[in-house]
Amino acid sequence: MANLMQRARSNHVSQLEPEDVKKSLSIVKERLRGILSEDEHAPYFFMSDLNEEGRYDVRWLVVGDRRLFVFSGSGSLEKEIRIGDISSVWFRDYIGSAEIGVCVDDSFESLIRFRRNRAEDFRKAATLIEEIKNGLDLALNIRPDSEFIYAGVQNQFGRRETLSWLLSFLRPHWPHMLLGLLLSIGITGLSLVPPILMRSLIDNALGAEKDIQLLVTLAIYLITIYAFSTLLNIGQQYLLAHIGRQVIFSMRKSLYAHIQRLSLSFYDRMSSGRILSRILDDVGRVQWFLAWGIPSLVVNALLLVGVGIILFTINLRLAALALIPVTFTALGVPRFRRRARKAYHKSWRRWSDVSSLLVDTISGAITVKSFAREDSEIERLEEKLRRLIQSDKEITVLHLQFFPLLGFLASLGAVMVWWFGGLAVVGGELSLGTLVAFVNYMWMFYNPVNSITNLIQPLQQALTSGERVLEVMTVESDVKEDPNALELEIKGNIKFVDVTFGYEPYIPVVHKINLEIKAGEMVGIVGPSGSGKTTLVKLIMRHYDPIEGRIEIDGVDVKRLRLDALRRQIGVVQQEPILFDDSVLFNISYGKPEAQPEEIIAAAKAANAHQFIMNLPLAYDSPVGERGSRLSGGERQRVAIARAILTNPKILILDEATSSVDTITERQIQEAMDRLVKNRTTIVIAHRLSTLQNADRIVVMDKGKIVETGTHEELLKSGGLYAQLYQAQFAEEAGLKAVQEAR
Amino acid sequence: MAGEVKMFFEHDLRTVNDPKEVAITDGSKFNELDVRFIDQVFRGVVPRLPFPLSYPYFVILVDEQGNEVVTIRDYRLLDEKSQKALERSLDRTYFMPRIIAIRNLETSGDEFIWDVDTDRGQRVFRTRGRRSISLVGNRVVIVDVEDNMYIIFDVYSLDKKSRGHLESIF
Repeated sequence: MANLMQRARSNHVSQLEPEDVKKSLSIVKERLRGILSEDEHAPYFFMSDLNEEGRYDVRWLVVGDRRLFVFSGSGSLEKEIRIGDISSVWFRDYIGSAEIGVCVDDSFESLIRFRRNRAEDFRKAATLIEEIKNGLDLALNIRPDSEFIYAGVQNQFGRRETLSWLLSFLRPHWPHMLLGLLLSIGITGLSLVPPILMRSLIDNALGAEKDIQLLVTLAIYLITIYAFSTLLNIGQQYLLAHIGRQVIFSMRKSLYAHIQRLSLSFYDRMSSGRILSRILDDVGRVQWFLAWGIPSLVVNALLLVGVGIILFTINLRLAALALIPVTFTALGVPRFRRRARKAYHKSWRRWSDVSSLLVDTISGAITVKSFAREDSEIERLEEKLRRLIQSDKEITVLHLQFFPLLGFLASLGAVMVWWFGGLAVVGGELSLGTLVAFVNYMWMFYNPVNSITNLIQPLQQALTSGERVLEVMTVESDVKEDPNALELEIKGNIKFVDVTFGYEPYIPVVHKINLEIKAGEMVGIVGPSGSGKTTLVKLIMRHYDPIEGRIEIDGVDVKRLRLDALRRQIGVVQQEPILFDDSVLFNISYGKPEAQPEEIIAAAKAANAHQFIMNLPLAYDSPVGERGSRLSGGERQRVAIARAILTNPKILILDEATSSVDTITERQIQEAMDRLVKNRTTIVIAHRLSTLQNADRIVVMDKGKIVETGTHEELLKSGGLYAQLYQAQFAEEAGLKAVQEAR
Repeated sequence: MAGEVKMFFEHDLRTVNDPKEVAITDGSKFNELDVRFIDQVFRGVVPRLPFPLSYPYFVILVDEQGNEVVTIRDYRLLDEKSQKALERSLDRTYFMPRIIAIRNLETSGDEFIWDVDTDRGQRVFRTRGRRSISLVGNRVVIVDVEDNMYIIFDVYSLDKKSRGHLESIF
């Protein structure tokens, strides 16, 4: 079952509970045991939640060394096919679903249908069947008792799992925690003493025979106890704050480190506002829980037990009466908890909608203003705030439905104790001092009950936050590094072999790309926007892995190379380069922090950036501002080029690096580029075709496919898409020139 | 000079490898220098600091046409006469008072009022907002509301009281 759990960590969403899947799987296995012959194995289980008619229903495809089986969720055998009879396996992508089928005796037969979220697993199934058909011997490759379960059930993190993960952060601090616990026990113990002294005070010191000496002694005892209690409290508070800080430090650090290592697809799925809110807000709430919530839960539980024992020792009947309101609390709170969990999740989602909108529109202020959309943005925020207020209101109402009533019941209990206790005192069965002490203890008993119930709301919040953090922590990078990855000194040969890729699975952005680029070659890639040019670059950098096919560098599949080594040897300049809020020097040396000053200057000169940098007040030490805002677009671009080439990359990729600058700057960048392309593979993605006249070869892309390749002249001659694009641009530029000359 | 740096770009940095190759003297015009580099003499050059904070002793000498004629990685290694001549010129070209001590630092709203001792005398100035103070390694660059620049060269060289003031805003 380890595999099921492992799969359960993946991102697929299913409405099936892991428990249901487990149950169904064990039924299928039971049935299978009756079907398989003694030396036959069927170790692969693939689950789908669609049946033959395309309705939601569990189906299992079981792949064995001789036969394929399809079972329903309840274990009835739907199909059985001998692998030896199969002539081919087919995999069909539809919209929203897909299916695998086989060809047996020239007739096509569908095996199993599944939704797109399961396609990745079933693609493996198809490949597996193909391999077995072609003679792969399972017995040789896997141990007889192994099982591979592909069920794709998303794990809803259980409270226990979240809690144990959160507590794992406390583990390194156990000596402090232990000390904290001892302090808590001390505080609890001390707080139990005063009512006993009170009884003595009423019955003996202030009773029938007044005893001033005893009064003085008792007063001294009380002062001593309160003084000690204060000291212990100070110690405990300090300790808790200390542990809280430490825990939060390591949690933010490990969360950030984890997010940093995730592939870009994670950032595609989750907006940066949401990621930020998890690092900042959610971790903060968890801090409260760990540093304050848990200890106060412990203290209150101790107090509850201590006071409970004392109550029952004093008077059994009164103690039983005092417990009545507690039962209401104990019954009401779990009910509340279920409803609260839902309500809080809703409120958080709405809060993160608000913060996403803020992040978007404030950083995109210029766009909002350019389209004069201020009013509608205000309305949009207002709507989201209204929804947030609504969900907060629901939380308030939920609280009011429970807690005031519970408080009232507690007061009723107290009145009953006074009533029956009072009768006992009048009847002479109980001393007044004992009753007063009892009532004191009783309130001490209600206090922790109330505190614990009051703690539930913030604990709820904290656990919800914890879940949200854990959710991010368990996302795995889509791009995984081979543990035996090679660190290769690359020469710069790039080869795409039948590469297909889509950001959405099975909606290819690039399709069956075959392209070979030799070391030292300069290749231009052109094509209409959305034709997949930038995607090719991201695939070379291995920000994503192709769905099909492979990319080789110097004949080695990029998947077999160490990621950091690969990326360090590729320099990329993007259309809108991102600079960090630090000095020019910091930004240029970002990929090579140990660079010598001469190297920095040389790189800047090569990028035609040196002159303008020297004119800044602090030259290379000048701050560039947030996201480079103190520099112009062309200046940012040239700093980015300097940054890309400082590492002396064997492969240099310029992704529309000149499209957002004026022609003079473009010429400067062009000059810089001409200097740089020597001895390195250069890929230039360009919108302006004039930038590509020096390219050794130009690749023309359209709709995710390569439609033409050749030199500038060849492509012009052949009169294809490139010639059309060129003529369109040429006409435009000629038109501009004519207009300028006319002026 | 420190070990030669391996370069992979073609570039026109004429870097000094041996301090004995260079001699700097006052030029004929005011605040200009003459430099002899091996067997060449460049007249009327001015010093420029490409990294005034990170590598404050890294100097490029630029001639009247703006050509960068000689690059010196660490001018402290030059002979004393050359060093003096260069420093005189740098001192005039770069007015970047170094803060030696912070006497007082008051906060009002997002404005800070600094009372400082610099290597050029005592001064009171105002800065606005967190962005006018930037930390680069151990160095702090402060730009006041009138765009004057002040530099704390090494935070750790300040006395305890000054550091305390500085710490209160970081």
